[in-house]
Amino acid sequence: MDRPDMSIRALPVTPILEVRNLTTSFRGSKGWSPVVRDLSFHIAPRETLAVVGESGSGKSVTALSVMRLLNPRSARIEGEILFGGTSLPGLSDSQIRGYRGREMSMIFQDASLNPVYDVGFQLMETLRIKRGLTQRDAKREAVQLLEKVRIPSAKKRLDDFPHELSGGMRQRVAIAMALACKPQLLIADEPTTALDVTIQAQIVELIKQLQDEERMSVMFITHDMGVVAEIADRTAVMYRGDLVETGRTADVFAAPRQPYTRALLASIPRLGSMNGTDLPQPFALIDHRSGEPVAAAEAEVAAPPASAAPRLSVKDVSVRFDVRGGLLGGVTGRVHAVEDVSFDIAPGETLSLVGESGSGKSTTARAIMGLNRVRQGRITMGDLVAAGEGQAPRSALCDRLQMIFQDPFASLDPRMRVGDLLAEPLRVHGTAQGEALRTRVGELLRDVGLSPEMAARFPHQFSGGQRQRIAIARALALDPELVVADEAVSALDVSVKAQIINLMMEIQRARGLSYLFISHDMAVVERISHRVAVMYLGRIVEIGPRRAVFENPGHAYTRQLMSAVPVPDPARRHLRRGLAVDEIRSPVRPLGYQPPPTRMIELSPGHFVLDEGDAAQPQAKGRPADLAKA
Amino acid sequence: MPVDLADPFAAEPQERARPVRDFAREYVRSPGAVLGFAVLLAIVLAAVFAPLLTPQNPYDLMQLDIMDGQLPPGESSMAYGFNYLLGTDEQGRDIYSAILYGLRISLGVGVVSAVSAALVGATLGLFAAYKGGRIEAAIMRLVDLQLSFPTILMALMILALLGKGVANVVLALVLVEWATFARTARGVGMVESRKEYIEASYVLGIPAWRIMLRHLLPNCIPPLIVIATVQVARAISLEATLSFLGVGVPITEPSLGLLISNGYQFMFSGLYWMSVYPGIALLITIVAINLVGDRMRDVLNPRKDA
Repeated sequence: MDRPDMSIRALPVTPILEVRNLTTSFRGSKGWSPVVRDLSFHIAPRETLAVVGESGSGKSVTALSVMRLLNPRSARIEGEILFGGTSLPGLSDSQIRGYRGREMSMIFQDASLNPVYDVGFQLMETLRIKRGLTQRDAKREAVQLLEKVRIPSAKKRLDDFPHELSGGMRQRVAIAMALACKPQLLIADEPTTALDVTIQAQIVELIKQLQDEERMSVMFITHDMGVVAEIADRTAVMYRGDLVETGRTADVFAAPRQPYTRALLASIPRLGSMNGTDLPQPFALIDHRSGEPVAAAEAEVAAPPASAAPRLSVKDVSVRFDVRGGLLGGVTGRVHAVEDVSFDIAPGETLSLVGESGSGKSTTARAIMGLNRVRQGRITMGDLVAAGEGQAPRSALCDRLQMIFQDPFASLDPRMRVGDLLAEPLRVHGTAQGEALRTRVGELLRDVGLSPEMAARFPHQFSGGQRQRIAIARALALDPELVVADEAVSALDVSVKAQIINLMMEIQRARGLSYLFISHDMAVVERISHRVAVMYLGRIVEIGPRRAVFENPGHAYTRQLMSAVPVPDPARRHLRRGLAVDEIRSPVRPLGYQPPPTRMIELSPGHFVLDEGDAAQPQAKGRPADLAKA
Repeated sequence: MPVDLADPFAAEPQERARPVRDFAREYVRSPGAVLGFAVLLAIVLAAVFAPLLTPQNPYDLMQLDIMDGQLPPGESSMAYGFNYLLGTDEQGRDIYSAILYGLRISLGVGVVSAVSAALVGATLGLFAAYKGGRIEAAIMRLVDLQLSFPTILMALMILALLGKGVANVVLALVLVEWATFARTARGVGMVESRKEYIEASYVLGIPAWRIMLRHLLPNCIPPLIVIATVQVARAISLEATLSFLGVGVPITEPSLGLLISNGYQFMFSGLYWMSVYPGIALLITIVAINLVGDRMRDVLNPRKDA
């Protein structure tokens, strides 16, 4: 045994983490009910395992079971969890605490930082307690950790409080904290879900690089198949508490064995899959039990008539919010949320607004619906003014213009039956009464693929996708001409997302409806749109037919946005990019700031790009507090 | 249109919710609260059925015998033969009977004033929350002003102006209590009115009054119920204080507070029972209501899962 290295290499690799027949049950009103059933998997040293599944699949519970973070009074863990050969369930509470943070660390969806302490204190606390460093050493180590996660000017950042950092930066700090004790296993539970695409790409890239540098294993939990394809060596697919399929990522994507995996892969929007076509097209879905294609409408949505007058016309609209500060609460600056935005929507057309958080797309939608006051400009719907000077009353507009909201759990009054929710607008506007009303409600439910008997139920008795169908039915109740869908599918699971988009297209074909579709998801936008407008910092930087914008993007930001979208294809895994730490700039401007005039250049018929001389560069950057000083 | 009824990826719909049953199940987990509820129920029943449970009507002068005056607990009536369980006052009035009849006034005043204050306060608070802007500022400054006065001083001033009487006491209590409801209702209302279902209703062209009444109010009820319970106890003790001070209910309709006040003058003559037993009854009532209220706050607190 003089060459121990060799003998180790010859042996089969012992996994860092091995989970055998794990069953986790929660205590409910009817006794213990299993949330994860008979789950077995392993993670080898320096390997990345992606656990992918939709909400309720038990992927987070698995991670919490491994970390022993579940309350033993309400959760029961059965089966074996071996970490480097040690059985974790048998350990005492103080023993497992030694493993947490030191041997295995976890990062969560929203970076879990304490808002009342600065970043440096929290990092140094971990280092002092877990590694027993002195204050001086801890500080030096903290700076190194922040540099390791590529936070610019790390030393200065130590004094920042969590709220002073952006979401991406906070997640970097959380990762730094998780790496403080050089763990062998990093469990990342949806670490990029709350982030914008460009930031998501940076964080995924960072985790990949750190894994190389630190030689650790990663268990990456996500619902996003695109991210899986980018990062994972092996993939485990979960569905309702069961492990459906595991295998090398390339194999799972190329030749999925189970119908559920096939259905899941079929429902993922893939950026670029619509190249060469002009019109929106529904997803070709696969049934998750049989693996057979679902007989859905595959026809594309027709192009809007070329000569028709626009239904909705947004002209030079600006929306601003006052930033107040100082002793007397005076206005110290303004958020230029929407700046000089103009577009038209034709009958039967879908225009998508894309952009990242803070780009002003939702504010634009809310301005159209009269939920935000318009500072300048005018929004007209046919002969009625929807916002701006001479605004028509809501009661006159609501049968032309309707909205679907993002969160299907918040947009339905929890105390009303579905039937009453759908009947209310009809009753209030005197559209239908008595028997006719009931028939109409039944029709609406049937139109969105639900059954009329469901009218007697309450919203919480439905799943997220069904609730969003109800929200669509309600938006359709007054038979509007245009529906604004503000991130209407963003909160839904992938497969449900695809179904809802297909439903929206189906309704559009049947009724000749127009959509203003607002989303941050480029791949979904590619499916559904006739035309696309890209927003950045409150302005439209590019607008045009979908094909032109996607196949020939004219603005640097559009290209950046598209390259950040994770590609759900392991074979086309992105080459290592330089690690940009760009942040989305703040639209807060000092008082009296004059936005530069908006000039658009026409690249091809109908395809415009914002002309940004040097004047258009945002002058102010940073927090409102900095502006007040300036 | 093709209909796909089965949303193949839909999560199992949740079980049908039974809010009342869930509430009851959660409530009984605390033994103290169950005891409080049982005691409160007994007190309310005793007050309601007072004529059936008492040997005499303490306010029918025909039934009083001055010869039975100032008897200690346990003595029997000379004229009627029944036992004075808790003794008598100087006019031969049975203290036990007086307490049950007094409970009727105390509970009645407490409940009516708290419910009226809840109606006034919640209406103004929700209105402020939904409307915002100047209306909200005006209402909330009024609330601040109201809450900055000492309650007892305010009530004393009002009753000094209006004079004695059950209706006047109720009015005074409503005037000093509405602000608490308004503040709570506004707080809850502001959280709720930022939710998407309120915006969705606005977008559907539903009139503002209907949004407030049909959507906002039902979703703000739980915290208001909790406040209302606690305020009933507060109103009862406040009324007792006012009656003790002699500005509350008139002598013809004595509440517990007035009984305590009447007995107080005999305290130092050793005739403790005239004052102490009504005091204990008041104490038990208020503790029972507070036990129930505290448990309801725990159970109905929307953040209890977090």
